[in-house]
Amino acid sequence: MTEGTVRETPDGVDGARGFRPAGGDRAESMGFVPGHVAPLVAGRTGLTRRAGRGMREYLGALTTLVILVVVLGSTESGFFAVGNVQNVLETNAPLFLVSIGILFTLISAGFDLSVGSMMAVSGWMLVIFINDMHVSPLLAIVLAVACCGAIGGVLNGISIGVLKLNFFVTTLGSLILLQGIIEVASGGVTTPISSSLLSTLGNGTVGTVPISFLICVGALIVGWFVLRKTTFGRAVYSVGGNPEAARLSGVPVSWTLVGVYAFSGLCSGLAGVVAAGRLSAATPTAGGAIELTSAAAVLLGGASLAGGVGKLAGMTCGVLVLAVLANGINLLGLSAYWQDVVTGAVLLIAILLDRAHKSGSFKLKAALRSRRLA
Amino acid sequence: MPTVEPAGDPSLVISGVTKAYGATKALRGVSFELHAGSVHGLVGVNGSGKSTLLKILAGAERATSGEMLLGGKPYRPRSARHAGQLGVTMVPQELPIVRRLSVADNVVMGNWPARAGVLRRAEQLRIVEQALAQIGADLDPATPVGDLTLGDQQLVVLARTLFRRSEVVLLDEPTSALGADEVRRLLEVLRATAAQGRTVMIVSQRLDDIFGLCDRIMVLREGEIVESADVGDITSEEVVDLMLYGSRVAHRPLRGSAVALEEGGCRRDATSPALVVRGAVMPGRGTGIDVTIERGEIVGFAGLPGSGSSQLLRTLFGLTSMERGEVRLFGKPYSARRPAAAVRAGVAYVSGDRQAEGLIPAVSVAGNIAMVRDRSVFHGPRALARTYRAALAQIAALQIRPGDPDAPISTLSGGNQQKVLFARWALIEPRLWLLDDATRGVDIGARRDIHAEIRRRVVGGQAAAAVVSSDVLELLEMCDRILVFRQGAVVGRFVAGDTTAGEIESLAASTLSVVS
Ligand SMILES: Nc1ncnc2c1ncn2[C@@H]1O[C@H](COP(=O)(O)OP(=O)(O)O)[C@@H](O)[C@H]1O
Ligand SMILES: [Mg+2]
Repeated sequence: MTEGTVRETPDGVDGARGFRPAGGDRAESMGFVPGHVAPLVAGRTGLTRRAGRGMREYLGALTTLVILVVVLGSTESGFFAVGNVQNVLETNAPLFLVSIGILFTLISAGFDLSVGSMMAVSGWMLVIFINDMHVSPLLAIVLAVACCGAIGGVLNGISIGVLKLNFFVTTLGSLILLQGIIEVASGGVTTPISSSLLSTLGNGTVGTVPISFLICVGALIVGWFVLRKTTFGRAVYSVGGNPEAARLSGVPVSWTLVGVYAFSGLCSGLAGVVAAGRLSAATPTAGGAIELTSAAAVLLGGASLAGGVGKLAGMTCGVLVLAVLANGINLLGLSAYWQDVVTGAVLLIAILLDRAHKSGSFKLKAALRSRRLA
Repeated sequence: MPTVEPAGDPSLVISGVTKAYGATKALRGVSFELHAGSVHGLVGVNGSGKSTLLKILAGAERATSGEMLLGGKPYRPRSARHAGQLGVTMVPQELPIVRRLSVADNVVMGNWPARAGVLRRAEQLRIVEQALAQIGADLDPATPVGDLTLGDQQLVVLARTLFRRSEVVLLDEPTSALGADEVRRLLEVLRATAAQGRTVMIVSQRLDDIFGLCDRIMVLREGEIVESADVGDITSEEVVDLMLYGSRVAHRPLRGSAVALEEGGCRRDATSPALVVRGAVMPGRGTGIDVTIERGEIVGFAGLPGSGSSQLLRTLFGLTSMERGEVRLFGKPYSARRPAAAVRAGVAYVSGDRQAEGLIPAVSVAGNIAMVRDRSVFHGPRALARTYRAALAQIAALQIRPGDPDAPISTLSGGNQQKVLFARWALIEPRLWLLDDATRGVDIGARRDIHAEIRRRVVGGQAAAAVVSSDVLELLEMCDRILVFRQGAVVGRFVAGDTTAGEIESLAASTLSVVS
């Protein structure tokens, strides 16, 4: 990009006269003079730099994960056993799937508290479709997941995106409402579902690889593609980073948010299917307090409640840290209650370290130096 | 030098536009024509309706009445997005950027090149680099916009208007927070933009920008255009008179500093300085800084953004820490570890970034003024009433408009909000004023009020002031002495009367190695 090329570019003066509506997808008809393609070197060095910077977002979670795996791997002989690894992956598949949706909502500067209820809804849909209506299990699963996406999009998405209601209140309302409906419909009891396909999804393996893990990998790839490679993904980051700027630039803010909560619904729906598959039953408490565990995982992975930040890689690290912690406590023979104590402590320490890394360490160093001098 | 191009058919015509916010009439029937290929300057004191007018043109606000024509056809934008589609874009003071996203993503924001929703990165990079090249911006498309200087961020937004082929570009005070170099570059870009046949309109408080750039100047006063003239047919003195009094010939004496300066000079007491800074080293800087401010003296710190001038003020107020060095305030050792300690020592800090560091939007004018004096939570009703009365006095003294103490601060125009910040600190009678670009975006009338108020408080030797301003002319007008900062060191010391803006700017911008 030399001075010369700048001056020579004739700016398409004739094309600039007159008023032409500037529609959305005019990438091709930009009217820039062709033949001037600046060297991309600057862009490339920048991209590498950005990759390094992106990693920093979840360096804490990644480091914690590596330390946990190394320590547990070397002290507990059973840690790397096939059965144990399978168990960790299967147990945490619903958490992982839910967290993909939660990550989207956090990037858009919101949150979805209703994911746990949505999992229960998904299970209950399976009961209706498979037990009552005798729909084919595959179709039933697709319908259940789609229903959850629709409920998320309409109930949460329209309220938050179009009616501009607060995300916390809205999804809290959905959480309570949906949970209540499920309790009423099911009478509060667990209902068995007999479907071999469903239980295969929950408990089956291909070779030694759990199918639920493959579902997670598939969802991760889809999520990554949507977030990184589509205009919707850009819009999610823009809306979360600066909603006013997004609006002024013509990003469809409302529909982006509807999409985000619909996507979160889809993820919880899928999580509900996997959870129902593991039990071969639908239970009203399928979700438990999964929204909070998931929040811990995703925030651990570098996302921010302020919005505009977050990566699937970070989220994955966050979920794995919690998963390995829980497994470690189990292997060490500690009471399961310790899990919450340790999870909470890890979350607080991670956020503290993150803080120190971003601003404090600098201050800390300066403070230490001035103390030394004094 | 601006060249006046033959004006063809007007590109944007507005006639009889009015705007009322409840009882406030922000615009009272504004009519003018904008011409393609020209740069139009819009000036007026704070609250005269400049931003409102731009917002109406750009579809962000709806006019109460009036007609607009764009390219000869009726123009009724429904929203900012719609106006953008019709070719009219506004660059607001608060830049519409997403700091976390890259330059490339910000330039084409909302219109990312894609096929069936899937991004086309190579295409995007090509488009963005061309848009950047066209405005001569040498920026890496992959840099997050938050890492850029404000001037570069502005170029990103301009590249976006170019990418959208906006025919009419409206800028609301784009230069108020830029350094001299960045201003010069921005003005060049705007001139080039107009030369391409676009229509440019710029609001600025800096008349020298307006005179250096524009073909036509329009003066807005209390919601009416009081003058609209070619730049060659009017002087900046006349523009100031028009802004303040609505006519070209106003024989009022200068209200502010010019008079007060003379008194200030002779009453200074040099026996015990107000502020002495010895060998101050700020984090990330190598060189020690020595600064002395006498009682009754106003000292200006000139320097580009990042030169350390503003950092020193922030350090003195306890907002950032000092690595080394000694500070004495009125003879006593002083080290502000946090703002609360600085306030207790009688130090006031007024920032131009009023949103980030000053005002509480939902609180009333009086509430905002009372905030520092009533900082103790143990104040009873009598003390609160006393503060309220003191706040009323300040509203009158600084001519804050509207004068309603209970109006929410967010309904005041920018310059009046800034006066509120001054009033807040004035209540505690500070001994040292730290003004960090504190008159940013404040109009010339309000500036004079503020300068006069500061001068009045400093004269008599009971106080002193250190002033940072991105506007060197303001420093020359307001200060007794000027120190020039560069790369964290003081590189020049001047008496305000013995130097010129050019000398200070070139010293501040010089890339020669630091000689201190
Ligand atoms: N949203 C609003 N509600 C009420 N009054 C407003 C609003 N916006 C602007 N005003 C009033 O309109 C007048 C013009 O304001 P503005 O256009 O911001 O002035 P300028 O940009 O020239 O400083 C001021 O008196 C201001 O208080
Ligand atoms: Mg304004």
